[in-house]
Amino acid sequence: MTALDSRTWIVWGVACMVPLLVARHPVIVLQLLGIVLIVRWLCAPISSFRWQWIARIALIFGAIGVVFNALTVRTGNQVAWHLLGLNWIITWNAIVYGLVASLAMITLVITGITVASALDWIALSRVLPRRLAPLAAAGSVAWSFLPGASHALADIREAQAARGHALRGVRDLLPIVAPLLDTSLIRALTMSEALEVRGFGGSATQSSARQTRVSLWPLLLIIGALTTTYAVSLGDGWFATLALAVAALGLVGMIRTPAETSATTRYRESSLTRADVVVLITSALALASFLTLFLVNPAGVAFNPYPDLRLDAPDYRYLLVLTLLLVPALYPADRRRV
Amino acid sequence: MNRPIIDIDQLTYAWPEADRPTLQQLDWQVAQGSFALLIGRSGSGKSTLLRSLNGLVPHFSGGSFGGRVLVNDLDTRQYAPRDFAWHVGFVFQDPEAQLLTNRVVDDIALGMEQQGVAPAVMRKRVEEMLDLVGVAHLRDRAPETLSGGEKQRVAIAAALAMHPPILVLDEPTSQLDPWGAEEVIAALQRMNDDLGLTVVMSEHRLERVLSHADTVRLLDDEGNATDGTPQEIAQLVSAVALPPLARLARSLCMRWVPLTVKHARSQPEFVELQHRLGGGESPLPRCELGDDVLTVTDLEVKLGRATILRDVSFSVRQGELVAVIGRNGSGKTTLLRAVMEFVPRTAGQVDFRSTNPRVGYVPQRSGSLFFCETLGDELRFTARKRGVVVNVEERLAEVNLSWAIDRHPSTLSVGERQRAAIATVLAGDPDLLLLDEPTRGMDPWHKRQLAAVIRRLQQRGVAIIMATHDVELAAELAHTVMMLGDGGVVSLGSPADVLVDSLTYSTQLNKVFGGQWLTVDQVLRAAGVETEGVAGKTVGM
Repeated sequence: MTALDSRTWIVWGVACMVPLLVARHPVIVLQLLGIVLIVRWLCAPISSFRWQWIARIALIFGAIGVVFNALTVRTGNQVAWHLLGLNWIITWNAIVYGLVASLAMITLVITGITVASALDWIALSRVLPRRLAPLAAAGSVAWSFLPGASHALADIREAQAARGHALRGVRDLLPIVAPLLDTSLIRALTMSEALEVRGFGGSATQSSARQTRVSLWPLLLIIGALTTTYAVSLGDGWFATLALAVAALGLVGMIRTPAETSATTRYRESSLTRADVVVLITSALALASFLTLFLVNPAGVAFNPYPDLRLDAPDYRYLLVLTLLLVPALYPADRRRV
Repeated sequence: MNRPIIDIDQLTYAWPEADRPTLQQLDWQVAQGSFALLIGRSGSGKSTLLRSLNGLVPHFSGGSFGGRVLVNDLDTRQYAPRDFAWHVGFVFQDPEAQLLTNRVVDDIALGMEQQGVAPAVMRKRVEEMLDLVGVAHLRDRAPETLSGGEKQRVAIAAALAMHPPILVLDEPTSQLDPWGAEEVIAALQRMNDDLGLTVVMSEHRLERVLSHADTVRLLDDEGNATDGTPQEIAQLVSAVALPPLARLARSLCMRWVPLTVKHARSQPEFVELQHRLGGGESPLPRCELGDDVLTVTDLEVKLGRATILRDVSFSVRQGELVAVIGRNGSGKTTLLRAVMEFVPRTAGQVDFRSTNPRVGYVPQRSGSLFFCETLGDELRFTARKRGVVVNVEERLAEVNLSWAIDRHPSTLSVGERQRAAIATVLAGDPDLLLLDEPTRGMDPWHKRQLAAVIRRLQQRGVAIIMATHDVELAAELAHTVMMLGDGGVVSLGSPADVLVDSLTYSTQLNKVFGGQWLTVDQVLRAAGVETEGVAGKTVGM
């Protein structure tokens, strides 16, 4: 029960994620993390807000990022450890960069969780093009699956603890994971049956050749989107543009292909409120300004600790435009209704 | 008989990789506008038969299918289950898993949106459905904030929104408290009476529905089916499966079996029996109790800002069974979890007599326990973790599951799994056993076996705290009954103190005979009948 429309959340999410994909300056990343946490705290449904979860995500991603970077990058002027006999050095430069990259990854994940928990999936299915509506319905089911799986996990941990089982390491996971998989599968099966008996998908009477052609568009979209992300992370603008065009082609193809299911209708038309318009405009403005600045001065958000570990001041204009992403916090969720 | 809206001809079905068919050459006709009830033990094929009515069997399940199922003149072999959404509304057992969106009205509209119903028609039908099942006040609520009964009524509304002429329900009240179950049954009866909706449902708790049905089909373990009116089936079915009043009538060889409290009150034999019994006391037989095992004093539990339990005080002695009753959300499970220290106690004390207490906990969903390849391995795992030596065969014999020692737990029926869960926990040799809704979804036959298991444990001196909605079981087994409500203890005492003269939480027999009379055994003993006789030919044992 968030105050904002699902479309608004998606635009805000994209506006947060794009800078996170290209910026590695610690100050910019920390600023975005702060923005996302504040918005999540104020706007996400209270039931989905779990600090413990965030702490665990941060711990896991942080540990993986730091360890991976420290062990694979042997460059830098600040040596932390010299592993004698192996001719191997671990540098502070690598550790710091791993930490910053992990922080960006954590912020990306929290942004995704925040948007997903704030989305009204069914409302989203009503505003999306008809061809994409089943995706939103599937998202809704997937999202409503999570609380059940989370409760099941808590039940299983308690049940096993009551038998004297303690989770100390990977080898102790089996008594938790096996029942969780079992109960999750049963639950997923019931949900899919429930969808089926409620007429989800309408009547499909397409030939197999037709179905093969239809299924290529989403594939194109996914490959294009992934390649774009990769190209952006490499800083290859031309390749990224080309990949983005492929993704756009996939999206257009998906939307324009006649649905193989029966035509869907909408229970109610959703309209944007003034708050939505304000957040949409400020988010779009933040994103557009960020990208423009990035074209002009990419070094302003970069962080390169190799070979010298030093931190230049970020371009203050980036900080300024990204502050616009805090605007959703002006429209907090009505927690009494949750 | 009206025109059959469901016409099943020689239906044979076997699940994938099953040794033998679950349904074999089954015929069934259900008249339009009737209320048909399907009964039988777990595993007799009730759910399979219901799933064949909209093509989930075989289109969704796979397996081998023979014969023909015509529903509203459509052959299920030729249409997918989603095409039957216009003809058959389907409600599942688990209220949690069938609500798919994050708002009640959206859930009701979901099926219509998918089928392209015009928005104006859709809005009208959503409003109709909200009123029909009495959930208009919940229209903007998120499903996870609803009670079990409310969720099932929303599921019914969602199933009926497409105006199907048939509503099929697979044990819709098995997960609900008595209030929730009453709400659902009342809504179904109203729709059957007023709208002429054909209702087909399976149910174990016959006292809730038997009197509402026009026709009953009994499935036995061999796949044979017997049809009849509720009265005819009540004369035929094993006494174990019957509601307490009907069981009493059968035990006393009465010609007419009452299906409701109202029927019983007007029956001359019952009136005469009531005079004979009077208000005199006949104490429920209970085993001797030992020393205190657990003392709970002024317990308070808060989750977030909400106070779930406050000022809860009680004690449990060796061999004693404390039944904890109350509506869904009253704090029964939280009380058990607080004893186990799974939730932090904000005030009060939980003191065990032993310095090293051994406490066993069987959760509501027994599936949370099992991960080993065999049931025997499950018991050995608990014993190893608890550092005790266990005789696996002996423990399994205690719950009548010796034969299942090498079976995978997931291959057992609901009732067998529940007893397997108890055996798994008993392998840790607990002094105190906590059972959370042990009869949930269980058929009456397995419930009888569970009651016998609990009695044996009591005689062995195991103290038990059992959270339950099953008043009849509490009356039969408990030394002490604790009713929770509004975050605290509403009533605490012997079954006679707590369960007598309660509108919802008294037994069927008490509603007829009043006084201290609670169970069939108690009345039979007072009437001079030693054991429950079973009159007439029985089917389904």
